[in-house]
Amino acid sequence: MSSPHSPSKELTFEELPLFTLLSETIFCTGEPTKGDGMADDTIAKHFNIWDPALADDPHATLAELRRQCPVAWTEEWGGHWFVSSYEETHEVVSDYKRFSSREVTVPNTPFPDGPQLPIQYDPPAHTAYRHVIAPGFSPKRVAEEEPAVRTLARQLFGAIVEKGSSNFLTDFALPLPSITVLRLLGFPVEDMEKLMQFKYEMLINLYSEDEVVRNRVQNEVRPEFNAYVKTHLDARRQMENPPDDAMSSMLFGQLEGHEKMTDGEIARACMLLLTAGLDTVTQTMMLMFEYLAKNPDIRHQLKDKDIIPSAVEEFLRYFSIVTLARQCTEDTVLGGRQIKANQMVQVSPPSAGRDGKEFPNPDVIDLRRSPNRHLAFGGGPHRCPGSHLARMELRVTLEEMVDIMPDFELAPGFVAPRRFGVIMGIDALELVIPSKQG
Amino acid sequence: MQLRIDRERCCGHGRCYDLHPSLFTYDEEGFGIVVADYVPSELADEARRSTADCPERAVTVDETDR
Repeated sequence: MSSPHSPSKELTFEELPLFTLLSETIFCTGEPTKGDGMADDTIAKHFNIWDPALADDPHATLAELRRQCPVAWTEEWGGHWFVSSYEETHEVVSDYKRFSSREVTVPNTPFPDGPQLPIQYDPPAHTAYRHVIAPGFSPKRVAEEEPAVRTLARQLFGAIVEKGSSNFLTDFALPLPSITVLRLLGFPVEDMEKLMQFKYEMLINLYSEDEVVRNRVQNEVRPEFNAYVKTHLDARRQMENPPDDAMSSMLFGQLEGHEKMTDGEIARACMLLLTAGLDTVTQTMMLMFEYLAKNPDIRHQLKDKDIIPSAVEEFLRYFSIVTLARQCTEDTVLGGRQIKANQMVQVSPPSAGRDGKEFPNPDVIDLRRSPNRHLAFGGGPHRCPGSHLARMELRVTLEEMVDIMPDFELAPGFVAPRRFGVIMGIDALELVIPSKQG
Repeated sequence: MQLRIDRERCCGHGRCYDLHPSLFTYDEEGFGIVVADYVPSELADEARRSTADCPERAVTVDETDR
């Protein structure tokens, strides 16, 4: 697609800078400097990660964006930048001074109780919150949890093999990360259904087009969730030896000075950890097992278990399912484009993970890929605090798969329903175990 | 050979200690720590490779002999 920018059709290339200057002076809008001669972002004009037309094959479009306009302006959602290259994605997430986390989604979705915590804070406030939240998900805590995750993975795989077929979402990809994150946070596993309902209400129904539904979530569900968290915090206050979990770490940990997180803040952090920590691992597992079902050669390579830690990194790179955003704080330049203060900049780890400038043969899974500086967990100060947990869950899952369920296929005729958006993934995965068939 | 982690740059990805546990470990919050400042010669190649795995380019080696 080499069509010229529509506003500059009559101009030669040499005249473009002048046009840019004029358009900025005359219109002085929040719009980008069109025709700045750096890239042709015609194809990005209506690009929108929520577009259902992109769901089946987002990577074809992302590759085209990387080629033509790695930093592109789209008019969707009131206008925002979309960054598809590795280098600029890393630049944005690393530089909180120019690219603030005060807004982290396009479209912006304000939370009624205040910003999501700690993701919508910048340093130094962010750093203080992270000091009391991160220990709950530290490599040490995660290592302590590994035996329980392994036992659970064995049980779940064992049940699938016995059955001979699987709805992999409900049989494995949903329960394993859900139960694990509840244990780390410190909620009773028996409350899983209740917490999943809270999560669903606040992730989906809070944004319902139906005002009645929205109001019910705001006025009833949120206070109910806050009260639920408070009962668990109050219980810990009464205990002589409170459990060593993320809730205790937030409750008793000190922020800057001698302040502590309030109950409301802890509830907000718990909700973020539930919403951010579950679907991400679930969807990475779904995509990984769909891929392994279709690629027995890769599955067989995993039988050498020494390769699994590196394989986990490679699957993380290949899928890098989360799309995120920042708000620009000042007029600046990114990848040669002029970004204005307050414009939203959406960055795409799914696309960055396939950037050939960073990863040779990016569309090929190479279980021994090295180096592999993927951005599946973002980067900079907001690097996903659950990354150690996610990585352990994926590693243990592959190790137990090799032992218990080494061979499986897609159910005959099954085609996964795909979605793009903030968390890329598939909504169903039907597997069969060949040895149990016929 | 000396191995270093720039604390200003490190964001706690954990790629260093997950992929190279003989060279790195971690602190309470998951930030990387070098196991031994001076790398034994049998691990020198791995130490050089480990610098390439850090997304923040926080891991460096100093090849000067001391």
